[in-house]
This record gives sequence, C-alpha cells and structure tokens, in this order.
Amino acid sequence: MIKVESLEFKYEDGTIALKNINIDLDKGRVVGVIGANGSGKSTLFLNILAILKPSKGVIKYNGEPIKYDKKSLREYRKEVTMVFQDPDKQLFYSKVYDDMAFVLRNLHFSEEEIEKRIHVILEKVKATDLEQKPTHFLSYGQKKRISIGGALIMDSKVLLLDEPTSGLDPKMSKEVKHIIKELSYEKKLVVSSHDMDFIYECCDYIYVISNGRVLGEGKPEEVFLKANILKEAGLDKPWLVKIHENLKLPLYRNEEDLLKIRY
Amino acid sequence: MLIIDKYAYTNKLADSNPFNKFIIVVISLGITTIINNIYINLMIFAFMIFLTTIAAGIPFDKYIKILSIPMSFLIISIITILISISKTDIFLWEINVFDYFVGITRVSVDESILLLTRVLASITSTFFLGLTTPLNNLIRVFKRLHLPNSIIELIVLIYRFIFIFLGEARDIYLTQEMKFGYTDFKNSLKSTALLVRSLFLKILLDYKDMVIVLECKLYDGEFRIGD
Repeated sequence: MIKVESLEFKYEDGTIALKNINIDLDKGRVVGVIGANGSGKSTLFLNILAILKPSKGVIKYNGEPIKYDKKSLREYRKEVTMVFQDPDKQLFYSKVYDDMAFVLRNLHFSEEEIEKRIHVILEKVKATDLEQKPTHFLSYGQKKRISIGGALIMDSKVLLLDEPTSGLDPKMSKEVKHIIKELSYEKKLVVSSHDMDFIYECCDYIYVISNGRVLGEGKPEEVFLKANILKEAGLDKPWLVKIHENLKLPLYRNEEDLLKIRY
Repeated sequence: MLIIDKYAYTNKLADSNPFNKFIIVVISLGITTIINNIYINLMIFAFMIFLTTIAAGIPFDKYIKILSIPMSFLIISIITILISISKTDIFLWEINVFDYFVGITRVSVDESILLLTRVLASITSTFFLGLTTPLNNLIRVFKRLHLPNSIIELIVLIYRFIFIFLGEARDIYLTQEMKFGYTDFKNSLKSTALLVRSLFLKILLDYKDMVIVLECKLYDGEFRIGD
C-alpha cells in the first residue's frame, strides 16, 4: 500500500522536520503514529497526503513513487484522504448535507448517487438526524462526526485520522473507536493521537516518532513495554499496560477482555 | 451565534414553504413602492409585525430590539428631511436664526410621513423574510430564481465563515476580558487593537489550513451546490 522510504523533510528556513523516516503501512490494518506535540506527526501526514513534497526520499503508493503533477495528485487523493483535527476547518457549507456532498460533487457524481451515499455514511457515523441541520448549530462532537463522514464518503482506500478523539467526551470517543474498528475491515487506517489508551486498543502496529525520527516501531503489546522509548518520546503507557506491570495481571488488549475474565 | 439566525431556524414558520414567504414579501415590497399610500403602508407594517411576532412566534421585545437598529438610522434621516431652511416664512413651525427660518413645512411633513411608513413597511417585510426563513431554504428560492451560481456560492461561504469568524472573535474577547483587558478605556483600546490583530493572523493561518483541506476534498475552483 503506502511505503515511506528514507524520507527527509526540510522547511524553507532550513529546519529539518523529518529525518530518515521509514514507514510501511502494510504492517498493520490500523497503524498508529504516536509522538509528543511538535514531534513531526502532522508534517509526516501532510507528506503522506502529498500536500508537502519530501526534500529527500520517496513515498510509494502500490509500489510506485507518488507523482506530483496535478492530475496524478487528484487520482492519488481519491485513494488517500484525511480527517483533520479541527472539524470547523473542514466544514465549508452551512448545511450538513451539502458539506457531505462537496467532494462527490467535485467528482461529478449524480445527485441520486450522492444522496444514496450520504444516507449510508450518516448511518455509519450515527448522524442521520443531522442531515438537514445548519453546520454552526452542531456541537463539537457532532461536527467531528460530520467531518469523519465527509472523508468517508469518498470511499478512499487509505484514511488518515489526525487526533480523532481530542476534545471529545468519553461516549463520543468510544463511538469513534467503534467507527475505526468497523472501518478497519474495509480500508487502511492511519491514526495519530496523544491518547495512549486509545492507540493501544485501536491499532495493531505502532510507530513512535520523536524529534522527526522514528524512535521505535512494533506491535502495541511490544512497543508499550519499552519504557525507555516511551520516555524519550515524552509519552505515557496505556493503563492496561500499567496494571499488567504493576499488578502482575496478564497483558489484556482491551478493557472488555479484562472485565470478562475478572468477573 | 447570531440571534437573527437562531430565530430563523427555530421560529414556528421555519419549515413552511420559503417560496410562499418570498412571494408575500416581494408583493408587499412592490405595493409600497408602486402604490405608496400611507394607509396601505401602515397596513403592511402591521401585517408584517403580526406575521413575525404572532404567527412565527418571535418574542415581541426581541423583535423590537432587532428593529431598533435600522430604526435609529431611519429617524436620523427623517429628521434631516423634515427640517428645511428658507429666507421666507413658509413654515408650520420654525425658529429664527438671523435672516433665515429653520423649521418644518407642510410639504416636508407629508413627505416625511409617507417616507416613514414606506420604509417601515419595507423593513418589516424584509425582516419577516430574514427572521423566519433559514438561509438554507432561501438558497432554494435563489436557485429556483436562477440567480448566478457564483453569487449563491458566495452567499453560502460567507454565511458559513461569519460564524467561524464570530466564534474566534468571541473566544479572543473572552480571554482578554478574563485577563482584565477591558477594565478601563486605555486598556480597552489596546485590547481591541490586539483582538483585531490576532483575528487577522488567525484568518491567514486558517486560510492556509483551509487550502490543505480543499486539496483533500478535490476542490477544483468551484463550490457546487447541487439542484
């Protein structure tokens, strides 16, 4: 799928944001990218989206290096898209329906097809009641649903999610987790987050990024046991790992497993 | 959130047919401009107040408050029309300033009353449309009228960004107020300047982010609105 090979990214002023990054998104169905603020996650995502062009190295999609001409980029972004952190910045229309339809109308879909797809997607993100609502009446969580929906509607092969749970209440976070789980059966997901518990439960392969470099990678149950890497990256352990280490319990992958066995 | 917008979406007539409302308003605007009779104007005025406050259920005190903004302009302009200056005494009521008379004439009174009722009728008519029709419904009307797409696009986008802009301005204002930024006149001036500056910077940054999102959404230079 997507392979990042010895990528380096320099800003115009010469500061190196990413250095010698090697990432293979085939290693997991839901790949987590974790790192402290300013570690380079967002820059990496923008490189993968081909918004930023690497200074060195290549990004390969299906074995072919990405081409940066307008036409190829358009084709590429039909397959690879992203849900940004701030939902307000990705809603352009004052009506939910029109906003969801935006990308499809750009691709000249017929109105019937658009309507059909919107209904399916709204069902998926549990927002059918919001269809005719004005965007500025929505709560933050509802806006988040719509912005996720707006990215899903294109039916891309790869979906990047930047901090999908930040600023959400526990219930909504859980729902996002659920949505991610369901999506993982149909497309490749790349998730960045500061919420280690969330990453631990959702992802099956993890890259730890710090200061623009890949500090470590591996399956969550391996990566999160490496205390020195996490410390250097300025991250914390998920609570399930903590209770495994401190209370001598087995290492559970999620809360449900733990509760099932304990009670 | 703008109070006008809130009422537009929550009033009792919000979901009624926007075309009917639009036609009512266009007809009443037409009548006040073409026939221009004081009594008919007053009737339209009363009818529109009835429609907005009783039929649509918008609280009367809030309605008056919203109306008071254009009213203040109206009163100032009416006063300037009402008062005239002349060397000969043709006035109903006047004061003498040196060789001149300053006062109100029969003609200016008639004219002012006619103008006043006409403006009242037009303002209440447009307010009826604005306060009871969600913008998204109005857009359907505009499309039916075959307004150029680029104008509709502009309306849609400006409308959306007004709320983001106001939201950001409000956030900055609240933070400044919590940090005692508006305690005295000097502080207030400084804070206002800072507010404008940070808003401007924020808009530029937001614009950069927006371009990225637009790229992802395969924007090709046109905001389509569908049928």
